[in-house]
Parts: sequence; C-alpha cells; structure tokens
Amino acid sequence: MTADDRIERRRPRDAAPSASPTAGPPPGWSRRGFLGLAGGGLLVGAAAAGGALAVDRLLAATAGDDVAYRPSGPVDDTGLILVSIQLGGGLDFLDTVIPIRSTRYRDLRRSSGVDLEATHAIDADHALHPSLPHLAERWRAGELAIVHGVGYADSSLSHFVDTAIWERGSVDPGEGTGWLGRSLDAYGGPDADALIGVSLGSLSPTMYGPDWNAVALAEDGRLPWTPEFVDEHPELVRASGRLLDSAPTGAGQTSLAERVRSGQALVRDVAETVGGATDLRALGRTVELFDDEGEEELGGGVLGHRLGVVADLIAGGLPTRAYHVAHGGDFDTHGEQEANLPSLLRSLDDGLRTFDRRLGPLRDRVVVATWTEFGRRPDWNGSGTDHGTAGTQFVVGPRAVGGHHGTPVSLDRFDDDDNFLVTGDYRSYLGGLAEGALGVEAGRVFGAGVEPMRLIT
Amino acid sequence: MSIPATPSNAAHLLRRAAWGGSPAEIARVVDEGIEAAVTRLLDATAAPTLVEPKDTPGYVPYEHETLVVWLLRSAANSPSPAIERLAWFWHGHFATSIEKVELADLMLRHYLTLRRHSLGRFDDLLAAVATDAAMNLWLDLHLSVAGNPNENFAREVLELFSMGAGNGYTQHDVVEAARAFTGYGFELDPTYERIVGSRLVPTLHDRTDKTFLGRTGNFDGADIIGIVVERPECHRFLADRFWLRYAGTAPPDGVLDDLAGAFAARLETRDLLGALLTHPAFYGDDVKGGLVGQPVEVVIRTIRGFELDLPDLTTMTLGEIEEADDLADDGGEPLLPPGTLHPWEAFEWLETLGQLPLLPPNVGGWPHNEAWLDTNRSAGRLLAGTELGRRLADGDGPVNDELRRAAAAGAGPLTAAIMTRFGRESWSADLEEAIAIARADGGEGGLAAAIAVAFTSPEVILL
Repeated sequence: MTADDRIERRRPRDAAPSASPTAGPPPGWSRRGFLGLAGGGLLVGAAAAGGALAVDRLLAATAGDDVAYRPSGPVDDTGLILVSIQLGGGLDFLDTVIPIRSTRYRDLRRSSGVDLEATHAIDADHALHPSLPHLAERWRAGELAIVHGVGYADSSLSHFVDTAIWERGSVDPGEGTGWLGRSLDAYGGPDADALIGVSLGSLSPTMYGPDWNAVALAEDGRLPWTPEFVDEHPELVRASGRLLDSAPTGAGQTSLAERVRSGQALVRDVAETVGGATDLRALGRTVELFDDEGEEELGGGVLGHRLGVVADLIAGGLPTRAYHVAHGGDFDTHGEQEANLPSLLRSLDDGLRTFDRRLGPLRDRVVVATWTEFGRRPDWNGSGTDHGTAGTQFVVGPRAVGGHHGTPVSLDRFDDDDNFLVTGDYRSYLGGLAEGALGVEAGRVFGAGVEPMRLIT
Repeated sequence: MSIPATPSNAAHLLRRAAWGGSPAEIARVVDEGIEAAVTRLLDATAAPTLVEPKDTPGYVPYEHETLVVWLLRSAANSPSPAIERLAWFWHGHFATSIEKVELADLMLRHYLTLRRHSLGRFDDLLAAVATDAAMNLWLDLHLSVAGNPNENFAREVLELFSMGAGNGYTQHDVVEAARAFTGYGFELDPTYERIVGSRLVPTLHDRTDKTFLGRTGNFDGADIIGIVVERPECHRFLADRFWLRYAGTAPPDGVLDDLAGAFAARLETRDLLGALLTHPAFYGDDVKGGLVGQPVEVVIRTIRGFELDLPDLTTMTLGEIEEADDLADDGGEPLLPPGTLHPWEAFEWLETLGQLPLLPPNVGGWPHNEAWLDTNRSAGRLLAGTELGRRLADGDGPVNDELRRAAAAGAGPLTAAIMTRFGRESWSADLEEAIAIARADGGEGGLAAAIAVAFTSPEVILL
C-alpha cells in the first residue's frame, strides 16, 4: 500500500508542491480582478461550451437558484481550453513511442520487458506501448499529435534545473514567469479574469504571471472559503476583511507580507465562483465518478480523478483557458522500469479516457498537452534508465493535428555523454500550444526567432 | 561584532532556530546575549535520546501517521528545540519519502540518523546517509552493481546533497561516482527478516579505477564523499542551503563566504549554523520578513506555544487510541486528558496545510517561500486556523482560560495573548484592528475568529 492509499482512506491528498525547490514568482505579483456571483444573470461560459447536454444540465442545475456568472473581464466562451499534464521525472519515450522495426531499439531495450507483440502499431515504423490503447484509438481518429525529440542544448540532466526550464519556457534562471503565465497574460491582457488559469493542487510555476498569478484549487476542485463557510463564520469574514480589504491589488508588491495578504484576498475573491461551479458539479455529475462504495468507476487513478475534476470545472462554466494537472506518478524510472513504466503509462491512458468520457461533447473545446522535463538515457542501466535528453510529447483532442511532428532522435549517433541528440526546440512545441490554443503569437511568449509547430487547428 | 540582544532579535532567533520562544525564553536570550544563547541552543548534550514509538507486533496500521505524530510531539516537547529544528532541516535536505521506501522502521531509523549527526561533521552525516537503508531504497542504490551502475544516488549526492547543480562537476563525474557507489547491498538482522542498513559488498562493487573531480583511484562511495567534502563548492552550497531555510532571502554579498569559511575549518554543522545565527545579516529587517514558515514548522510552533500536548505514542498506539475513542463514544471514559490534541487533528491540520513529514514531493524537498502562498495553501491555512480557533476557544485548560480572560479584557490584551503564544513580541496595527472586529462579536465565536485571523496573518505565516 502506498502512502497515497493510506492517506486517501480519510480524504484525498493535495498534489505535491512544485518540483522546483526554490522557484518563486517575480516581485510585483498581485491578484487580478475576479468574478462575482450575480442573481439571475446570464449564464456565460458553460452555456456556450459546445454541448447541448452540458447546457441542459447547467440550466437544470441553476433553475430556481440564483447562480450565474458575471465576469469581471472579457471571457471568450468559444475558444479552446488547454489542459497541460506534467509527466514529472522524465519519460522514457523510447519505450513509449516505439520504433518497432529498429534493431537498434531492440538492442537498447532488450531487457526492458515490453511485449512487442502487444504494442499498438500506429504506422509502419512506430507502435505505442501496450499500456496505451486509448492513445492508439485517438491516433486512428486523427486526434493525436506526437512531438518528437524536443529539448535544448546542454541539458544539465537535473530534474530541477530542467523542470524549471520547461516551466519558464526559458533557459534563463532569471526569468521569473512561467510560459503559460506569459501566454495567458498576452491572451487576456491586464483585465482578464483571475480564473483564466487554474492549477489543481499547488500552483504550477508554468502559471506564474508577469504581475499576477493564476489560481490553485484543491484536488477536489474546491476552496474552503465557500458560501456555506462564509455563512458559518461571520466574525472571521468581518475580521479578515479588515486585513484583506487593505491588501494591495496592483503590481509592484515586493514584500512577502503583502503577498500573504493578497494571496488570501484572491481566495476570497474567486471562492464564490469556484463554489458555484463545484455546486453545479455536485448537482449534475458527481454520481458518475464514484459508485455506491465511493470507489472510482472510471480508471486512471490519481490522474483520472484529477482530470475528472477538471472536466467538471469546465462543465461548471469556469472562464478558465488553461489548466495544469500533474500526472501524480514518478516517471524517474532508474530502477524497476519493467514494472513501473507500464503502470505509469496505463494511468495516463486510462486518465485520458476518463477525461474524454466525462467531457462528453465539451471535448471539442479541449486540447490536452503533455510535458516531461527530459527523456532517458539510450543505454539500459540493468534495471531501468538514467536521465537523458530530448523528449517526446503528446497533444490530444479533436483539434490536435494528428500525426508525427518534429524529427525522431537518432538511435545511432549520441552526444559526448552518450545521450540522444535533440532534434527540435522545446519552445517550438510550447509556442505551438500557445498559438494553437490561445491564439498568442509565440514571439510574445518566447521572444523572436522561435518557430511554433502547427499542432492545433 | 556582537548582535544587540533586543527582544526583537531574541524572538527572531527563537522562531528561526527553534520553534519560537515564550516571553520567559525570549527574556533569557536577552539576558545572556545572542552569542551565548546560540551556543546553548546548539549544545548537543542537551538533546535527549528519543524513545521510539510503540510497535504492536502483527498490527501495523497507520505507520506513516504514527511516525508523523511521534515526530511532532518529540519536536514540540523537546528540551533542545534547536536540534529538532536542525534534524527537520536535514530531513528536507535529504528528502526521502515513505511513499517509495514503504518500510516505516527504515524511515524512523533514517530520521534518527539525521538527528544523531545533525550538529557534527558533514562527512560523517553524508557517509551515514550513503549507508542508510531508506536512502538506499529511495535512490535505487541497491540496484547499482559493477557493470550496471545506476546514476540516481550519485547524481543527487552531488546535485542536491553536497555541491549544487552544475556547480563544479560534470556528467563524467556523475558517471564515475556512480561506479564508485556500486555494490552497496542491504544488511539484514541475524534472523534475515529485517533490513537494518546497507554496506559495501565487494563482489558487487566496481573495483576498477575511477577519475572523479580530477583525481584517479579505485574509489568507493566513502572515497567519493571524502573528496567532495573538501571542495569549496560543497562548503558554499551548504552555506546557501542553510541560509535559504533559516534566513529565507537572497544572501547579501559576502555572507555565504563568511558561512562557508566557518564551515570549512572543521566541516562541522554546528560551526556553519552557529556562524549563521550570529551573523549581523541574519538580524536584518529583510531577513526578519523574508521566510514563509513551512506548515510543519507552524504546526509544531503552535503545539508548543499553546501547550497543546499530543498523546505519547511511545506508550500507546494509534490503534489503541481509536479503540478508546470508540469506547468513549459508547459512554466510556475518554482516554486523552483535556487539552491533549487528538492525533488525527494534528495530522489533518498538516494535510490541510499541504505538508506531511516523511512524504516530501520529491528528492528536491519541499518548496520555499512563495510556493506556500498560492490560493490552495492560503485557503488551507484558513481552514486549519478555523479548526485551531475553535479548539482553543472551546477547550478546557489554563491556556484556554487565559485566552478567554484576555478576550474579556479587550482587543489589545487578546492580541498580545495570542501573538505571544505564537512567539511574536510585536505585531501590526492592522492585525490588532482585525482582532478587535472579531472580538466585538463576543463569545466563543469571536475568540475563535480572532485566533483564526492571527493564524492566517503575515505575523504568523512569516517565521
């Protein structure tokens, strides 16, 4: 039994904090505007979310209640929603998207235990790991983009250094913002809604913005400062209001004390909206996720649960354009890769299937994109693989441009440290997501000279 | 240069180096001076031998929970809080998780090993960690054998434990160190039933020459450690890690050189930490407002400050407490004396706040400062603060009576009573006004709200 299981006996546990031990947002971090609850107003967001089923549900859920959303800033309720899934630890792409005809592959991974007969062929040269049947289906439907070989020069092979590079979208340690934070800022401008970016668990540094931060919700998609909480704790609400009302709201905060207060003020500001969305979810959808014993009906373990919550928040009508979710497993397969990689990939595949089923018609608006800090070493170390370079990423959804993107790494020529030679710029991948999902020019996020991949239509 | 022994400096020292100080403890530091106080706080002979939590043969539920509650109580009740604080620092430094190790007895031994070596020579500590069974499992050392070296442990020894990423070593050095660390197998007890440690197994060890940091020889793991701890990068990296977790800010110019210099002479942690806690820069205003308390630190400080004892898990198990709870629900006598925090309360506070000892997110340890201020963590503090407030307002004991009397006396006395318990000797006018608003509502709800507001205020969140 894992520690997770033990804890989940009582209640779901929050995600682990960011992989980066010391990263923080830049000075000047602040809160943004927020959504308020308006009695009897228009139902914005979810109603335009594409699916008649979801709309009906929401209308049914809100009938007789005064639940609707009044956005504080412009809300695009037709645009795509990007769901970024972190595969922390470094995925062994070689055993994931398998160059099935390569004798070199069979030599490098002869001990890794993959049953090649059980793999899912996707074309003449490649097959997906046996644990990825759903992704194979998505491929056949033209809904899976496989992005090969992306990385950067001179990888440190450190989880923390390389994770931070991916989070920032920059090799410069002095860059204080995340690539999604900059993308959302460019997309929404200074008046965009505070909930435009949401992390489940702790706030992903990908979402650190230039002068504001996205919102982190608990694993169940809620915040404790609910309307019920407010009703039950009138003294606390009034007293803390004294501290929060004077919290700075603009850019230019520098002290930690100010950030403490503005972080809490942001909780108060968004909690009613989050509460409204999760209430809709409770009314309409929670039944499907759990059976009578409270066990999960749909697969995917921790990731499946997290993606189920994201699906419900989308259906609940949050104005969010980018979500961050961590897979929850450790892809750092130095040891016992033969046992560990199949279960890690299985939970990814099951989680994505869960997400698809739960989204229903809303899936037309959603693009999933994975990222992992690096690939693994070509050579087998006896029981697994050590840290490598380059990486293969997935983009999934009806709007993904299905097929191979970029160039697969060479299995014959390695760098001086016996690692794969990177074939593409990781910023071209991230830039392709920013342009394709948010319509933000890659140059505004990564600077000039980054050619975005065409990954999303 | 001597540090002025003002109440502000004394309280700051006790909040950072220990778990906060009572007015009497602050006065003692003021009386003896900062330097003498630091010497006293870092006196290893004051640290008691910890009694291990009670183990019921054949019945081992709640292993992680038991260790967490035992650790909280040991730390909060300790006569040597600075040494418990230091053991906690090392736990974050060598961040090993029960999630992968799974065996609670190995995690307990791991923590006790860190604590035993916490003040002494760093090479002794690193050597003990390299042959610690929990660490061996955590970073796959047992899988690393001659011909098939596994880089996991060797890389993190250099990157996270001793030198810092990219700081004076290359990938080639990692490869060579990994070969030196081959062949560390588990050591079993005489019955061959329990892992008790790890040791070098010559037949599994790569006995060819390695070239590491410019030196060549038939090195084993101990040799690698010996080479690493001589490097100036190692001294400076540890100075940086200590400054990060005790001071919190970007280190001012020259400070890390001062600390690294103090450390290099004997490689003793007491020299490094002593130099930090007596450095003028440590008492600057930026440092005083520059560190977000990790949830474990805040909870231990709260337990100690408000005298909330926890059950003694060296004499009873969590299972026995649960059984007694069930009997009490059926009309039996409550097992826990009034004022004793129920183990699940403490455990759930930590869960709500987002940090559990022995379960770090990864080998990099827990995050620093701003990462604890996101909306999820902020909301968690609100919830935990509300629970604490309710408990203290409803409770039956001298501290609860003191708080109720202070609430009756006025907002000023109430703020002072609460903040003194949190180890603060001063606070903002905003906080006192907020507590006045809470108190104006009267009754237990007002007192509970005042405590919750204090718990979520910058004065408590920032150490």
